[in-house]
Amino acid sequence: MISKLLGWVARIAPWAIVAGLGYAAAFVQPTVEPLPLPQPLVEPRDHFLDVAGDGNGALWFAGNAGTVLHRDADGHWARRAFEQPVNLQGIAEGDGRVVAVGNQGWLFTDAGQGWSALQLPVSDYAGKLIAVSHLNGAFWITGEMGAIFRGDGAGDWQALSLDTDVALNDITRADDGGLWIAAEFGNLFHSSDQGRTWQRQELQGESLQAIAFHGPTGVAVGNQGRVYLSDDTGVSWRAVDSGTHEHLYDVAHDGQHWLAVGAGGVLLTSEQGRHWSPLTARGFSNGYHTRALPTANGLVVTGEDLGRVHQGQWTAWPAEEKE
Amino acid sequence: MSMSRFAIGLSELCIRHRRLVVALILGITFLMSLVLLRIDVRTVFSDMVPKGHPYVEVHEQYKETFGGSNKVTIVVKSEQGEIFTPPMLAEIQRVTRELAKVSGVNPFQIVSLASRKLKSVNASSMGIESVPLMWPDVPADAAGIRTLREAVINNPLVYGIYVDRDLQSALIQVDFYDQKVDYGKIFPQINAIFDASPIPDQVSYHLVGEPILYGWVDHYLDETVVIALLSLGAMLLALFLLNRTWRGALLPLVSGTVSAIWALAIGVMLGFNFDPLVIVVAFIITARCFSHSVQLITRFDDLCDGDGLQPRAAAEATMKELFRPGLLGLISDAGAILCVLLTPIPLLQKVSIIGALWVMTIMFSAVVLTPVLLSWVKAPLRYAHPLNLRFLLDAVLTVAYRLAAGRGAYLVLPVTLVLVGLLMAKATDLTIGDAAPGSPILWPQASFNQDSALINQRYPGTEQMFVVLEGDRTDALKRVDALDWMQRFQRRMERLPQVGGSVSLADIVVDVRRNLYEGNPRYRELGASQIENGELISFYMQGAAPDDLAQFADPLFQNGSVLLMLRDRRGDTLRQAIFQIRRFIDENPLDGFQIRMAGGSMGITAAINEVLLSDQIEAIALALLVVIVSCLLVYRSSASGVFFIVPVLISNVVTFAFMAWQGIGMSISTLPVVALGIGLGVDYAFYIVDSIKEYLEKYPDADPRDAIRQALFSAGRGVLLTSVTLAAGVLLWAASSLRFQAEMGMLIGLWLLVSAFTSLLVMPSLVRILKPAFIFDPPKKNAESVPPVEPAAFSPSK
Repeated sequence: MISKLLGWVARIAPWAIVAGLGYAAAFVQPTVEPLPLPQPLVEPRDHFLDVAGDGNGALWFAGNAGTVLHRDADGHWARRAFEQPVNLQGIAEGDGRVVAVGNQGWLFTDAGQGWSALQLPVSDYAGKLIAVSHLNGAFWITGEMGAIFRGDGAGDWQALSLDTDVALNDITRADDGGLWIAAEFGNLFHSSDQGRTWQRQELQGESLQAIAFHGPTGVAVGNQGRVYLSDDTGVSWRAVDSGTHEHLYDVAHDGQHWLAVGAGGVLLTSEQGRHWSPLTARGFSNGYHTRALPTANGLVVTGEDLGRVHQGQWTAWPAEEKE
Repeated sequence: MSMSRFAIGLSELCIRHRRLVVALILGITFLMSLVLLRIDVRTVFSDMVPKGHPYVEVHEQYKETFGGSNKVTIVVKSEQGEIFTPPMLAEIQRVTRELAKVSGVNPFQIVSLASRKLKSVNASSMGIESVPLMWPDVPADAAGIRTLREAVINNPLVYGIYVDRDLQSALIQVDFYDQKVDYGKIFPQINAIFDASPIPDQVSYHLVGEPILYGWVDHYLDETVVIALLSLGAMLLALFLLNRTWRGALLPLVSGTVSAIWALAIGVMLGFNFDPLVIVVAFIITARCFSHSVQLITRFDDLCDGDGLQPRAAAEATMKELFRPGLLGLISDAGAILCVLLTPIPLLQKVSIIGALWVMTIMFSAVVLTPVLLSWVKAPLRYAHPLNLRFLLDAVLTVAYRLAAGRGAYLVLPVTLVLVGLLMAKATDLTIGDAAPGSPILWPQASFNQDSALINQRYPGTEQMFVVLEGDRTDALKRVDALDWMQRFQRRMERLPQVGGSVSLADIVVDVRRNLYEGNPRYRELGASQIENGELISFYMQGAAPDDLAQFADPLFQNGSVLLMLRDRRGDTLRQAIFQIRRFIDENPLDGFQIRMAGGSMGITAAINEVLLSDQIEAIALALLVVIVSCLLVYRSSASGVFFIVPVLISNVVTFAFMAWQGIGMSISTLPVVALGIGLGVDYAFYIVDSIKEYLEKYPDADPRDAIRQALFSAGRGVLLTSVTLAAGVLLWAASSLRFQAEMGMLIGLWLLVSAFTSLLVMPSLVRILKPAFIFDPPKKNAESVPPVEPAAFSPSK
């Protein structure tokens, strides 16, 4: 009986093996174990155009596709992408509140309770909100088509826009409390009455991208490496040689030096704002940088990439950060 | 007419008319030799493309516009810092210009810093201008070079893609016309450009691409021929040493030569090219031919030396006795190789057809010609050389016999099962597709793979794959949602670590818009409407050649591509990329568009990988089917099939486990290995088992152990002799500069050795323990009432 059964199995076995393989050939496909594809803190196509700090070590970076990158005082990072994937252009912190602005009049605020979104009334044609700063106890927002908004960050926003087809690229405050805006086509706008009225100055033709004051000294930077210096709190401005033709996108004073960043990996420094020279930072990339934020631990720079310049060394964030 | 009667009749006929038979075979061989003068030895990339696969259809449809498989990437690297020096820039220009003269080049598809295709779109408050970066001249002074450097750094379509981020090298991409590409010319002509460098100490060149890869294959053709000749020599030497006679070495050589000439000439007549990559297959089949010839010579020697027959009678008896296993083996070989024909890859189909024909020619060159030539032998073993190494063979055969005849036979089956189980577990780690980062055709340390690694380190990736967006109307690509889809798709794909970068029309649009806004990165974004995007594209096209956007969109902007640059071509990399592409397409439907994947050389490779597994299993299944059907026809028993599947399965599992251990992926090169292995490997079992059966048919009352002893010391000697001979030949292939050849040779060699030793060490024990009916209970009409001879007649040879 057993031998008959074994004989029967032996006769069936080869056909069964071939049939099994035939079935496998027809239906078995190479399986792919999909990589988890975790969300990295920074994606290859991210650009963070602005950075804000609270003075205690926490930093917020505003990026494209509605992305905000946060680094807390302990060096922990978090990434947040808003439902509205608009490119964010500016970010500021003040009074415990963070405000980020971007294209199509979008504004996002967070007072520690989570982010909320709001769309300010802007031009349908050019509605980019470019910069936001916390000045004189309020948030000031500037953008395309002369857009200016002032608010407390909690939802109450006042439109103070200029009737002009000019992009307002940066807004800052001088020591005398006056407000200054660096704008397209070499324009500077100045208000000494908290934005109710503005006076325009035109410094040749290249667009100005940023302006900063330190004491009575003011520096405005712009395209084609243009640098303008004022020693009298903005009453008069004169051009100085920056040594570069690359566009300069930001200028800041760290308490000791003037610092400027721009396209093509340009990183400049100056003692008084008169003579500018390249600042050596080993590993600093050749890409563009749009914002430089002096902090207690060095100069935080953002743009095509982000990181910190400290003691002549560039540390790319967040990948190379060592606690 | 039964097979035995046919064998008897054929043997008598051939020996009686032996002069005529020899004249006929030599005459045909001479005519075939004349045909062989027209042989076309070259590698054709399209031979490796699986026909009918959706990726291949996309590739074929769009290869002329979005990138063919004949792209060559050249990196000109400065050995002394940045490339922004007058001599380096002049060298980049020289190489770019000289490339236009290379055979088969598409002069409109040469892209480099020195070509007119790479432009600087300069914008200021005063306006926008689009000018080539470094065409037609290199900058004349330091200020010009500084301006160029700044322009490169500020151009995201150049910086990091055509000039590395350290500014130490420039990348030149050149495409070749499909119909004009000639790997044998491209490779030396490009190298000649490098050799003519005026600054050889300051520059290094690195080049990759399919035409270069096959140029390397062509470059190693001489080495391939040398290895083939050395391997042939090694096999003949082994035969001469072990057979001890000139005829033991020369007759297999004659058989192998006749078969090779016939098969290759038939290939020429069918219009096939001979690919040097698969020369190992030809070599192995030749070795197979040797094997059949050696079996015949061994049996002939036994009959003359042992049974005392006259050479003519011994030759006739040899042919008669070995006709059945010989025919069975050859039909199985040819049938198994023909199974590869179903694989939709032309190279393998050609290998399959030629391989099967080649094997069938052995019927004439060895099964018929060898015994006929042996019939003229006057004094067997009289002229044997004094160095008798047969004791080595006999030692192995004695071990095999003692294992099968003793109690050890009962352990063979369980031990084999355990070993096969363990190896099968290892075999599950086998990678489908390439397992190493570089090209599997060359070794990792080959300069091609080194260049590939360097370029992939400095640039987004040399391995390209494109996805096509087919719009339903003209200008569909200018739609905001279409361009936004591209950007989101690229963003998602670049999160994969294996994707080094990507390029699409959307990248150009956002960059033009940035430049239109004074180069301000805040404006590096899409236009707000289809009309605005159209205007941005028009800006780019001002002063451009009509085909400058051909890589990204057709002239009507209805169909476009997203080009993905992968860091390597490993099977896992491609599967991950394909998986993520498919997932994104499913999750993000785009109205008015059909999204199709995947073209480019990596699309083709992904297609190959997708058909490999099913084709591999299919080949195994069909080859086993051939073995079973052959057994059914010859032994009238389907149960005999399972018996002969044993060595096949063991060899298969061992080979796959070896591949997994060595990191050899399942690829085009392994498909014919399996088919050849099954077909050729089962021959050994046929010879030994058939020899046992033959003995028991002849002497029904004999002790099975005597039958096993006779089979091992007769057919087994031939099996061992063949496997040792084959090993001598295969060993040399491992030294090939072409990894494809080395691995294919090594794997086939391993398969056949495992088959041989399974036939010697496992099969006799299984015969003794399992006592299969097709051996022990044959039809009575085959039995002869001749008393058994003394088993001592089959003891180790003298």
